[in-house]
Amino acid sequence: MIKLMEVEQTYGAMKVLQHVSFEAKEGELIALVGPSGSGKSTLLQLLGLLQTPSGGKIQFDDILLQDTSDEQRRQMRLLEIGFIFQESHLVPFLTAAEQLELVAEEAGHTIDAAAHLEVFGLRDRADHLPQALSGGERQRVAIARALVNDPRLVLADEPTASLDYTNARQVMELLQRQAHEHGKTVIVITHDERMLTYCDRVLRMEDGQIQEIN
Amino acid sequence: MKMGWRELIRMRQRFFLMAIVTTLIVLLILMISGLADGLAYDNGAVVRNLPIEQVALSKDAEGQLTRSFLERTDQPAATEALGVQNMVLEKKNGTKDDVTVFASPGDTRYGPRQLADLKDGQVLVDQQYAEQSGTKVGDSVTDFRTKQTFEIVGTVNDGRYSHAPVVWMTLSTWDDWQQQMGTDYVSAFISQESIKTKLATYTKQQIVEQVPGYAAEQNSFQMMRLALIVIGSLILTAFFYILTMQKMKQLGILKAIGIRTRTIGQGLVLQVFLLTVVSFSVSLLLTWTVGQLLPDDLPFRFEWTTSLLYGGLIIVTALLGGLIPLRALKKLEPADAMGGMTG
Repeated sequence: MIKLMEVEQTYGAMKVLQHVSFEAKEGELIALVGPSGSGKSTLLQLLGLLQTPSGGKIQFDDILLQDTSDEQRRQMRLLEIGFIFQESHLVPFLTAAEQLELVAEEAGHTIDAAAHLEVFGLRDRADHLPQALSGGERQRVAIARALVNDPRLVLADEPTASLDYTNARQVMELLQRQAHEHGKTVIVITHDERMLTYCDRVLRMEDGQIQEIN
Repeated sequence: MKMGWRELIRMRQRFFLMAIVTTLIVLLILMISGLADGLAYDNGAVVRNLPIEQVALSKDAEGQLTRSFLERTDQPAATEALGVQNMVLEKKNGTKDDVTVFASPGDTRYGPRQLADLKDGQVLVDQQYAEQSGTKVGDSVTDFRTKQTFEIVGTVNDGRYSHAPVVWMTLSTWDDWQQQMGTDYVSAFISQESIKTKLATYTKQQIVEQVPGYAAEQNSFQMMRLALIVIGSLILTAFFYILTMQKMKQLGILKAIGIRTRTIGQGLVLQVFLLTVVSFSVSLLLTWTVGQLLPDDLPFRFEWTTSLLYGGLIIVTALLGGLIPLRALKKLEPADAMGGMTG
């Protein structure tokens, strides 16, 4: 589904990623682990088409991302990729339902936001602003927003970092269902080893290099 | 658009302060405009009210009525003579006031209607002056130079020239007064049509602009208005710029998830537009209210056309200022705005 071939990323003289190669298939939930500064977030941003690599190739299906325009990449981010951030990063002045509608309408879809939120146990929170939601609820709204356009790739940057264990488990179960039941490719950065049990594969980043752990 | 509107409504406390500052800036511009227009009107009110098309003056008068000295033998066809002269009026109690005498034939349409009923030695005075100086119809006033006495028989509205009150008399009374001073001239020949003459001719507006002190006064106000618009626009631009910059991380997230710059930008422009339109409307209402409450002797004039023109100018400059952060938004790289490249 998405394939990295000898990908490198440098900022000036600093090499953040070196010879990174791996392939993520449909229906896989992959964990990305490693110490701070190892290049995990940079890799996630490359996978999310938010940066272009200094070297190597990234292939999304049959499309080489180096050959795409800014507008094509934006459309892919909107339609093909779902982002979940460490802190939900919801728009503070939009209700839970409006968060979903914003993304759907941008893609030209009309949705029943309440029905979407019901899947995540948030139907009764549809008219609430982020400030009126708990941390776990906010993160679930963020996941609902990430999935509203039915993307094939879901990227999550420490989605459980600000949550307690119960909420963190709920989030990981949600992501696992998206991978296993809906066939999405889910890549999650996590520091919490307890969450690795939900993942099919674990990739470890260290000094900009990647290694698969069984 | 929807996003911009929702932010405006739900984050109204943040926008309220901006709306207050915008309202005060526009209010200041409109008040200064009102004063400038009031003074401009006051300065040449008597000339503005004359139903004239053209005015002929002596060539060396440089467009000023009080500097023009004309022989009646030079009077062009189809014109009427007009006398204009400064006078120091002495009241019975000994106090003196500077006034400007306007004299025209009592039987023409030029000048106040009551002129037709004036007899020799009778004058009309500006109503505002009468109220402020305590002079009443029936009182006598004296020219300080010639000691000639005139009887006040009525008052006129908008009788000001170069901010001085106007005293109207007939040309017959004018002639008597001039003889006392040993002269025999008039100041201008006026007509409702173009005047064919070798004398210098001016339009009514040109005469108003040549009223002593008018240009200097209006230039000062024009500079103030210009400075206020420039400063106001800069403040508004800075406000909107800072407001947008504060939201850059949030906007970067939106760009990261695929929201178009245009969608975000439309919301920002809508906010600038609505904020300035609402602030302008409030300022307009406040200015109009202040205009109604101010005492008559304060030269303040609320002109809808001028106010709307300045309002339009403020809205346009605010929108242009609002476009500056849009450039930053367009260049914004979602990854940079989000940070988080350290992991």
